[in-house]
Order: sequence, then structure tokens, then C-alpha cells
Amino acid sequence: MLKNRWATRVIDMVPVALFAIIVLLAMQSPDLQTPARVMVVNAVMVVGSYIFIGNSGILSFGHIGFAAVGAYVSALATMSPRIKSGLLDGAPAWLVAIEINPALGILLGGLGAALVGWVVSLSIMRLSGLSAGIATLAMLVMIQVVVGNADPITGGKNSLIGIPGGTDVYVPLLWLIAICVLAYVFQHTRTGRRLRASREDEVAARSIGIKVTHERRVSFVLSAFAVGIGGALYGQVLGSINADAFYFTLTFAVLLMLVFGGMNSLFGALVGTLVITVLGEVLRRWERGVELFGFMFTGQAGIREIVLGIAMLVVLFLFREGLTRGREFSGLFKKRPQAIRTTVIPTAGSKEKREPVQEEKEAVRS
Amino acid sequence: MNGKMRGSLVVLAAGALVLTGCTATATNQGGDGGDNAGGDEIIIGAVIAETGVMNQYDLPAMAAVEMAIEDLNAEGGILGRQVRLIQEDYKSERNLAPTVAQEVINQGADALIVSCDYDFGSPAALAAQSAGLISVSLCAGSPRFGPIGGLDLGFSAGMVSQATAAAAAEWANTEQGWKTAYVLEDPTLRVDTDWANGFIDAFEHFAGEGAVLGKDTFQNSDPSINAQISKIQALPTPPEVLVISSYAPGGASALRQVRAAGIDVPVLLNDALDSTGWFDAVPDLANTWVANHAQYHGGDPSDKVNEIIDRYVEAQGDFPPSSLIVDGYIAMQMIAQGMERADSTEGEAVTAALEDGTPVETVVGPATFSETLHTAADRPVTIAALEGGEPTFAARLTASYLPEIATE
Repeated sequence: MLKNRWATRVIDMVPVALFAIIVLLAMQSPDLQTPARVMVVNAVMVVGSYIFIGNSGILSFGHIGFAAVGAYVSALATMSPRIKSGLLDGAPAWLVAIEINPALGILLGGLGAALVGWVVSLSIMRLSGLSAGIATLAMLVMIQVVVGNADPITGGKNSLIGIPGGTDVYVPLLWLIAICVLAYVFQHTRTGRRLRASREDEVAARSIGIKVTHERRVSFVLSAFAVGIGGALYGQVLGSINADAFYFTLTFAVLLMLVFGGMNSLFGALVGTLVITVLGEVLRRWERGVELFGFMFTGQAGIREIVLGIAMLVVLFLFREGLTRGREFSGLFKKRPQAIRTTVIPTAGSKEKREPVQEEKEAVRS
Repeated sequence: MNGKMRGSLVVLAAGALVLTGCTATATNQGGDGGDNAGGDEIIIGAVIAETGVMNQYDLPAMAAVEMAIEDLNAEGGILGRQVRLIQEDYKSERNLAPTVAQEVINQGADALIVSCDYDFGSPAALAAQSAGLISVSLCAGSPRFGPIGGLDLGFSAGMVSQATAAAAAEWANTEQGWKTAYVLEDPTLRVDTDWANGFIDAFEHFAGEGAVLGKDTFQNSDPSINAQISKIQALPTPPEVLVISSYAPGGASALRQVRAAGIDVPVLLNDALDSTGWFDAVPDLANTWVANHAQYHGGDPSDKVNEIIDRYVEAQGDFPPSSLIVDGYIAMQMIAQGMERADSTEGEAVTAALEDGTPVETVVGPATFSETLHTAADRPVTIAALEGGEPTFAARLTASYLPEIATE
């Protein structure tokens, strides 16, 4: 039983440390370096999306739009003027001339995405449930169309390449840790808790005076910032970006990771990213052929997509709330309630009962 | 969820795995590549699309890469070392390309062959550049494939589209005697816009100011170009040649509609429309010409090109789908001659050797590269007549006038 609040918090950060260790181990193998870096970037985007989706319960299809904003802002601010003048016909002179440090570029990308997130949140956050989800989808389409057609600024449908920055893994990894801490701290702030209350029952939350729209807006902007950072890192790690990269494929990849691991906890976001990345990489290698005992085992081309789809279905059937069932890491050590304990009366000293709502709902579902 | 359902799900998943296919074959490869530093062979790593949208361009050209490697090995290899090819699929997924490129580099590649387009090929070319290796795109037509586009060690075995267009314009005016032209441009891809602009510039250079009666645009996805056709029909005198710069299927659909509307003037197409795949879509295809990279149905002036085509037909049972196949052979000629001249496989040395202004001798003629342009602008262009569902050789020429190609 974990009664100490600080002990719980430290334990909840263990998955972040384990994730970082796995990444650093993978970096020891030359073939795994790029997949490991891409996984860290994906994790930033998944955790970034989780800040809004996990806490508000609104499934956003538009967050990859923020990744696009972050990636383009950061890329345009950091690329060398020589390459920009070659790739962008008719770009404003100041845009071509600007060239800032890649590390600052990442921060600028996040801030750019947060700004767009704030503007969008003014209207979208009044909506709830499915209509909010569809509105975010519309936002994604709008961002994609603008980025894909603003030729003088973004290069339109053509790629921007030669984005300077990370060939190492430490910068993305430090950002991932920072975003994880941000996400974890946020979900324990008053705003985070109010938002979680509205996720469980919006009407009840409003009835006790929670300004749901305001709480959602705060988390939306924070989430946009984090995903924007992810987008900026994406550009730096891969060295090139294009408008099509930030559309449905990446949106569904990120949502798959989040839903797979469990979209109601930070632990779930990390587990989902890890499992889906490892599974995808194993299947891709299998498609190419794996040599075992002198025989070459070759999977059918396209097997990666099919198996990932099946894995998603299986998880949704078996664990409706994802692999982690919406629990943080410390939740693994807590005794799961077997049934609704109607007689439990929270006492002043019992800090464990601070979040009874979620656990009891889980008991009902299982 | 009860145990029975759980069990059936597991069976379902296992069954699906089996259905998606797993074949086992005895391996016959002698060991893995490993570190090739100081090795006795040159490893060419191809990061190309075996699947996805780019495979129609990459796969035929790769067949020619293999032929070029066979020929090189028969003549003693490169720098006296035998050449070995490692080929990996990046599935036409630009985000996957750096990972695949890194794997190929880790297997000891000395140079990379990358996909046939600037957008699709550049991620792998960047990975090669980071490792200090040169990369050659199979057939990218953008002058950006090189230092202008951030690829200091990246080259393309294709031709700069403005230069292909200029050669086509020169042939149209000086050899065919066409004095006026009308241009239909599909701005979906920049390479086709470049081509149209290059044609207009060069045609007015040869035929005089005002020789291009007009230019109109259409989108590749437009179901109908009636409005554009009406404008052509409304011209006081019809153009002597109609130019279409696009790619299939939109470009083929445009040609079909032009013919259906009764416009029977000669039509000249850009090299992105050089593919037999759409010929059936235009009934009674005739009086149509295409600027391409070589004659690929037999009858090329170069015996070597004819030999490549014959070998392809022997292996695949049919003619290649487009003239881009020769670019694959040329890619290997560039790598081989660059390494021989530099007496090294080191990326910067090979790049310097290719950039020095000495032309690379390709199967269709010389091609020159410079410090700013890593895609050839002076390689001979072929013009083919399209009639009765087959391309026949019409002309081969090198442009005597080049439109300005932005190199800054």
C-alpha cells in the first residue's frame, strides 16, 4: 500500500526512466539508432496529445496539425539561408535570412504551436464529445491545406530538407522527460483534476462550479505546445519534412499508440508508444526476411499494417482502457477494488482515496 | 469478457498471422555485409521503393542498375574491386527512408542509390550525406537534387526538366518548323511547372517573342478541361503545336479530351508523361510526340541502350514501361566513373571528381555536373513519336540554349 503521496509520484516517474534506459540501450546498436530516435519523437507527440485527450476525455484528431506547425516554424527558423533560397520561390527576405540555433528552434516551434492552439481553442473548446473531435479533425485538414499550399513560405507540397540539429538522441530524450514531467504535474494541478472530473461526468462537474471550457482550453494550449515540440524534433531527427507527413497516417499512428497503451494515463502513453514501435519494427524486419537456423523466414509484404490492425482490435476487445487500463505505474501496486465499496468513507488521513471515482468506475467495467 | 471469447480471439490472431504469410527458404547468402572498411568489394546500397507509389519508377530503373553492376564486374569492377548490391525497400514512406538508409550504410555501403524523386529520395540521400557517402537518385528531374536543395553529396541520374524542355522546344521549332505553340500546364508537381516554364522560355528564344500563343493550367485531378479546350478553340489561328506538361493519369486524360474535341494539331508531351501505361486511354493515338531519356522499344541510335532494352525484355518478358530505365544504368556509370576519377569511395572526393566539369560518359552521351548543379542539364534528349500504341525514335539532340536554372 502506498500511502505516501511523494512516494507515489516518484514511482509514477519510473516508466519515464525505464523508457529512457531502453532508448539508450537501443542506441548501442547501429541499426536501432534511427528507430530509437523516431520512437522518442513519437513519444513526445503521444504524451503531448495525452495532456489534452487523457485529461479531458475528448478524442482529438487534430493534434498532428500542431506537430506540423511546430515542425515548420522550427525548420524555417533554423535552416540555412542558402538552402531556403533554393527551396522557397518568392519567400520574404526576412524568412530566408533568419537562422537561429536548433535548440532555440525547438522551443520556438512549441510556442508557435501553442499560439495556434490558443486561437483554435477559443472556438473549439465550447464543444464536447464527438462534435469536438470532428472540429479538431477539421482543424487538421485546414492546417494541412494551408501548409500544403503556402508555397512561398512552406514550399507547398515539396519537402523542406537540410533541417539542422539532432543526430544525437539526448536532446529529444531530455525534451521527452520534460514533457512527461509537465504532463504528470499538470494532471495533479487543480486545473488537471477539475478537467479529469469533467471527463468522468461533465454535467456533475459543471454543477459544482467547474468552468469546463476554461480548463479544457488550458490543457489544449499546453498539449499543443508539447506536440509542437514533438513536430520540431521530428524535423530535426529526420532532417526533412513535408506537408503530407503531418496528416492522417501520423495522426492514426499516434492515436493507435495512445489508445493501445491506455489513453487515461501517462504510463499508458509510454507503454503504447514502446509496444507499437517495437512491434512495427519487428514486423518490418520480418517482411525483409529473418535468418534462423540456416533458413530465411520471410513475411508477406504489408504484414506490418495487418498485424498492427489486429493487435489494436485484440487490445480493444480484451482491455477497453488500453494495456495499462488507465492506471499510472504506482497503480500496479495498489489492490484493485473487487466491487464497489459502498461503505467506504474517506477519512482525513487517507490520501489514497483522493481519486476514488476512477477506480470504482474501473471495477464496474471489469 | 469470458474465457471462451478470449480463446477464440487468440486463435483468430494466430490464424491471421499464418494467413498473412510466412515462407521459409534456405539461405544462400554467404555471410552478411558487415563492416566494409578496407574490404575487397564495393557495396552499393539501394534504398528504393519496392512497394508504394514510387515503385513504378524505381523498379524498372533498378533492373538497369543490376545490369550495370554485372557489366562493371565483368570488366573488373570499380577500383579493381567487385561491386555488390544491397537493396532495401523503404515502402515509398519518406519517414521510413532514413532508418532503411542507415541500415544499408551499417552494412558497409560505399554509395547509395535512392528513389526517383527529390521529395522521396532526399531523406535517404541526407542519411548518406551524414555518413560521408555520395548518393545518386535514379531519375529525379529537379535541379534541387544537389547543393541547391541541401544535398551537397547528392546527385541525380535524371535530367533537369527545364533542359529537357529546352531541347524539346529547339526540336519543335528548328527541326519540325513549328512557329507557334500553346502550353497546357499541370501545376500539381513543381517538376511539371519547371518543364512548362523551360519550354516557353526556350521556344520564344528560337521562334521569337509571342510565339507561345498562350498558357493555361489544369489540375491533375480535374475531371474535365472543357474550359481550357474552349480557349484553345477560340484562338484566331490554331497553334502549330500543343504542349502538355503533366503526368498520368491527369495528363493522359487531358490529351484524350483535346483529341475528342477535334483539336488535331501535333501534341508534344513532357518526360513525366513518358510511359506506355496510359496509351490505351487515348483512342487512335497519333500525331503525338514525347521528350524522353532514350528509345525503349528498340531502335535507339546507341547500341548499348538497345542491348539494355533487350536484356530487360529477356528477363521480364516485355518492354520496360518508360525510358527512365536507362537512368538506372547511368546512375551506376556516374558512381563508377566518379570513384575511378577520385581513386576513392569517400563522398567528398567522389563529389569533387564529378563536379570538375569533365563529362561522365553515359549510354546516351556525355553529362556534365558542376558545383551548383548535380543533375545533368546537357545530356542528349530523345524525342519519340507515339503512334499506334508504341513509341518510335524520332530524334536525339542536346539543347544549344538553356533557360536560366535558379542555382541560388
